[in-house]
Amino acid sequence: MALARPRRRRTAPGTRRDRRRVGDMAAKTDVYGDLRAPREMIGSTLVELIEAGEDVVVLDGDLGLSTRLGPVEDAHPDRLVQLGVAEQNAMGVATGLSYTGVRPVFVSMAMFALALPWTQLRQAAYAGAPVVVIGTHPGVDMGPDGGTHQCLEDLALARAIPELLVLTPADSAQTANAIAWAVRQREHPVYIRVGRHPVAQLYDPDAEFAPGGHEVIADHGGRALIVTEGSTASLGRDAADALAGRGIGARVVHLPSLKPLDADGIRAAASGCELVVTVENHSVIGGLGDAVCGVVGPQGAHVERIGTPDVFGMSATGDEMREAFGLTPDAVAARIAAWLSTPPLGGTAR
Amino acid sequence: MIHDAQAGHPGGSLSVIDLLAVIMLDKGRFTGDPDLRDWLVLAKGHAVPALYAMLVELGDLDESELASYRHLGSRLQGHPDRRKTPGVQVSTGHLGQGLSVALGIAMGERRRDSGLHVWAVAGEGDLHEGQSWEALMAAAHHGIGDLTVVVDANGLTQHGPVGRIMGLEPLAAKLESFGWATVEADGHDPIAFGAALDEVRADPRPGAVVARTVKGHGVSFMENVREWHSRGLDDDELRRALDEIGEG
Repeated sequence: MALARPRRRRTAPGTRRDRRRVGDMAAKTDVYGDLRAPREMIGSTLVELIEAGEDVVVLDGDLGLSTRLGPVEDAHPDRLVQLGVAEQNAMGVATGLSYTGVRPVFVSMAMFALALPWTQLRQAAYAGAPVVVIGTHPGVDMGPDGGTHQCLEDLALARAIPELLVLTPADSAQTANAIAWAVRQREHPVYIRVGRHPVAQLYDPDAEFAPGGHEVIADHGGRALIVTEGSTASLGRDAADALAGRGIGARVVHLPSLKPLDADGIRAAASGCELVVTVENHSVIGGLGDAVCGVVGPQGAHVERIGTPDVFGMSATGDEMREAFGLTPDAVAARIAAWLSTPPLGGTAR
Repeated sequence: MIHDAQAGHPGGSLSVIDLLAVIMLDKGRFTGDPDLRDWLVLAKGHAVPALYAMLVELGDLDESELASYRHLGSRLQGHPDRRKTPGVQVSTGHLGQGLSVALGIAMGERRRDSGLHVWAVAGEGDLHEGQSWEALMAAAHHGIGDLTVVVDANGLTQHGPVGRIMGLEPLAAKLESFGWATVEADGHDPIAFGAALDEVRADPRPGAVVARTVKGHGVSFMENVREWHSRGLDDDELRRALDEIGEG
């Protein structure tokens, strides 16, 4: 599967994608030096798709400012259908639109794009309706709004629906390309998890997206394999850098999708490693960690899952939440170093 | 079908079948090129035996297949399944979700200016779900005229009379207040019901017909008896029922 070649280090600004049209407000709040919030790409990518001739209709549940739909509203107001705070209806409308050949894209925060209308999305998948659902502010990204709004469960909920593809792009460039891929295909219902937290740019903006597969985004050696979902890719890479500074060689793999899941690729990457660690901006229940355990666990691999524990979130900034849950490069590196210094009960991954 | 399966929803199927016959065999376009047909959304998907009977009438299904309803491997599922059953356009089953799907289809057809009409048939249980009112609100807000919702108001949900389970009345006034052109009619009088459909279609607003029906209509021992919401018929009950509706 032709995946983008990742950039191993942070890229300098000034790529083609960096110069593309992004709303002023998005540019002010979503770009932090060379760190960028993937959500900034939503509106501008949808505008590009509309202008390329895709029959996109964007459905909003009164959260377009937060989900960065401003570019669509400005450039193509007829393509932005406002449905109010009524997400169950929005998912049903998306289903119906898809039957007529339209490419519906329902954009909301993960809690309201996926968790709230879960049965409606399940019915869409049951019916084979190729809806595109974009969930923003996943995991602890919601920050101060607190535990009611922090969706620590969306990957678990999405993975459980048969036939639904679950995309986990790593950065702004891959987010844009994942959205474009999802709109252009017409076979599958797709959930795209799009982070609000600014992250380093890893992927080439010109690379085509393809679900499945895996990408080695850092390789300092094979003592530990760090597996990441989109929003933790640069976190995993930075943790591997920190481990390398301590003389511990780790390899980092990013999965652009949890469904389909590149089981063979994960097994191959884990081969010979003493430890497999998953890092996710999500509960350790039902998400990336469980998916990877299901793949390498039967091989006898020692797997540790880093994510939020089985608790609800709380009001705090996203950075404070990441500190509290150990979702920082230093904390991840420290836990991996500790696990590697303690012989596991099982053997090495084969 | 329901006798062969020893399961199903005879009461609601018998209340809705007259409505489907007027919509699918008379007022709507449900023959010919599938891409040029109107859309039928049976929101009260549990009444799917009535839809299968219509698809036999329309030639999409062969009558011999009806006995496979609800059996392992059958194309005739317990609720409408667009991927398994020829002629079924929309999968439904969860009450309250069908009107939203119908609205989405109507929005899509308006985008491509096809002139195709969307007919959604809901039960009172559908209207107990809040999502239905989200859809009703949104259709009026966006001025979706090529959408007609028919409420099979048989007055009886699974556990008892609607008025005792969760009252919906005054239903027509509620629909009217949500911005829908609304008419009430006797659902078992095809002339009156057809005229009601014509009247709301002539109005530029989305249209609603509250069709007053009888659950288990045509079979005396089923009419208005809640136990016939969901159960199969034994051989004797089947014989008596067919005698009463003139198919014996």
